[in-house]
Amino acid sequence: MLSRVPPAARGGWLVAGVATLLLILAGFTLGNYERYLIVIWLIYSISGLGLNLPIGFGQIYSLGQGGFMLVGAYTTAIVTSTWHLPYAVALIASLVLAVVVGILVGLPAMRLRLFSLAIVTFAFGFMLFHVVKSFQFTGGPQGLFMDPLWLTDAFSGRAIYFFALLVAVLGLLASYSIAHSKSGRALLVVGQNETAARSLGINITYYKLAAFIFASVLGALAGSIHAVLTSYVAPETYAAELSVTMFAAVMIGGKGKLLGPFLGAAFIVGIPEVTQAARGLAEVIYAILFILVVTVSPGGILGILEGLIGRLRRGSIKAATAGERAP
Amino acid sequence: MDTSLLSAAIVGGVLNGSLYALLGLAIVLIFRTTTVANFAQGEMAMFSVFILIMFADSLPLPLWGQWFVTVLVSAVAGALVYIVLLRPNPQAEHLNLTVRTLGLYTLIYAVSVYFWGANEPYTVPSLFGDGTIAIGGFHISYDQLGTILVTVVLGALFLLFFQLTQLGLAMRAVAINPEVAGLLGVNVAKITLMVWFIAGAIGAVVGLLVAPVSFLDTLLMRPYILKAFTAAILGGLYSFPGVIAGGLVLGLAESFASIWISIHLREPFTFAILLIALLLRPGGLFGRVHKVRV
Repeated sequence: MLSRVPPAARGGWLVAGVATLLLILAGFTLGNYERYLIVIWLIYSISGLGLNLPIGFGQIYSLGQGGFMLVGAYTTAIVTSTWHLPYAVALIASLVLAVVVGILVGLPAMRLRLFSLAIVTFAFGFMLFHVVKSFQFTGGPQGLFMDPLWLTDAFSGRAIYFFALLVAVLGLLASYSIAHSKSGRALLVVGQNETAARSLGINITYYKLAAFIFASVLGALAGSIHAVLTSYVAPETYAAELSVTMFAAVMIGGKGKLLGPFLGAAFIVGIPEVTQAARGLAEVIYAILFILVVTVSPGGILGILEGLIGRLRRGSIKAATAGERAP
Repeated sequence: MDTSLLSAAIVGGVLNGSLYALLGLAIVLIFRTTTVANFAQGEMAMFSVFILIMFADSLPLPLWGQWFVTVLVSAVAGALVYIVLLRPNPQAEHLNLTVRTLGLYTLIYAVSVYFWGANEPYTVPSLFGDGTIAIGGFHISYDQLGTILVTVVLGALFLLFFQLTQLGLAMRAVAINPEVAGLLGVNVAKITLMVWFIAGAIGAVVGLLVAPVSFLDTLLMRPYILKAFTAAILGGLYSFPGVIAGGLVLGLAESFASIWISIHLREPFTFAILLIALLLRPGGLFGRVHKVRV
């Protein structure tokens, strides 16, 4: 089985496996704040993993991922705290609603391409923000405070940590199996040339919609975990800027690569954390680094890393062949 | 409904619509010639207003002179954006180039908040003065009248420039096919620079028209940029008359939605218009579906 996996992917699995083991260990040893940061990173990674499929494989520019995170978060808050039902129900409701909303937005939107699609999906997120802000049952501008959930505090916060880690690993496995299936290859063809895809008998709308719904489901999962983590949902948290941030995360990490979203999420969570000391300037530094990464390396952070590794390899091969030639 | 409410809705709709249309023109101009959707267009306009009240303000010039300086500086800034942000790695795909403008959007916002965010909102003087005139029992302020006038004149000048001048012709050539235009002797890099220059200037004018009405803060252009993009898409993304019509349709629809339905549902209503329009005509109201060779 492993022999069928190309060497680059094998390296990726090695990284993912080691990282998962380290994260499991970290869950038992790290302090509360560090664990909180890692959960936030995992939340962005999960959402980004979802978004990576439409953007990276299908060239479907979705700028509405924040809207789907909003759907997951608000559904979770309303089901657990207004209706007082268990979290499992909230989780299922979030997923079902994400699929329904994904189809409602996706069916008309998937007829569009590129930037028209980007603006329509952006407008969708923008609209949802205004909707939850103006209705009473979504808490209006103040948002909703949630009842304390078992998952939020269990094992001094470790339950939510391992739950987020589990979802991230499952999301990665799902992304991998889709990317390497017939559907993933079909989506790649659709992304590269729709007319060619159609002439090959690929049902374009079906694959595009499926990718869009995959993103909406992972987005809603991420939103649901975020609501549980913070015990509070507010419109501003899921404003249109979140969609821009998620799109940026996928692009900064390296689109179309499964580890890209994790790197992109690390960037958008990590940089503000590291530059906290610069206070007001932190945002400016973040923006400059953002521009630098995407301008210098269109392949994102993963592109930079792969370039470095490639150079090291070539260097070592050269050194080895030079050693052979030496008398 | 009485006529004064009706005419107020029409004036308000045309006013906002013309601003969406003008900002949309800048977006379509850049999109047509470089296939970059400039998400930073709104923030660039917001920054221009800060240039006026932070720097141009102290020049010993009348207000219209300060306006002129601001527009000129903004145009140069637009050209600089192209040189610094979009010239490196030009072989990157258009999505990458567009994401760079998302980065610029983040940067301009962060810089403005850092320098000026603490004291917002600011008042910005209007070029047209206070006061109203009555037309047939209905009052319209100098400011509204001036704004509509400026947008109409600027829009018309722009269309004429694009259709009738040598430079406009070169821009159209680059828009249709940059490679062929280059082979025919058009200096594509120079034309692209000019495009960003003009877009910077148009953005500045929109910002300067918006700011006196709605106080200046760092979020000034946020409602406008999405509407401008919506107008552009309604117009088919490639057509200048299309984006102008799209802006006016959007402005009027919004204005009537807020008096007939509810002011709170204005934003969702905009989205509904966009979705329905695109459902019926995926290429936009005035656009045509672009055929692609395999």
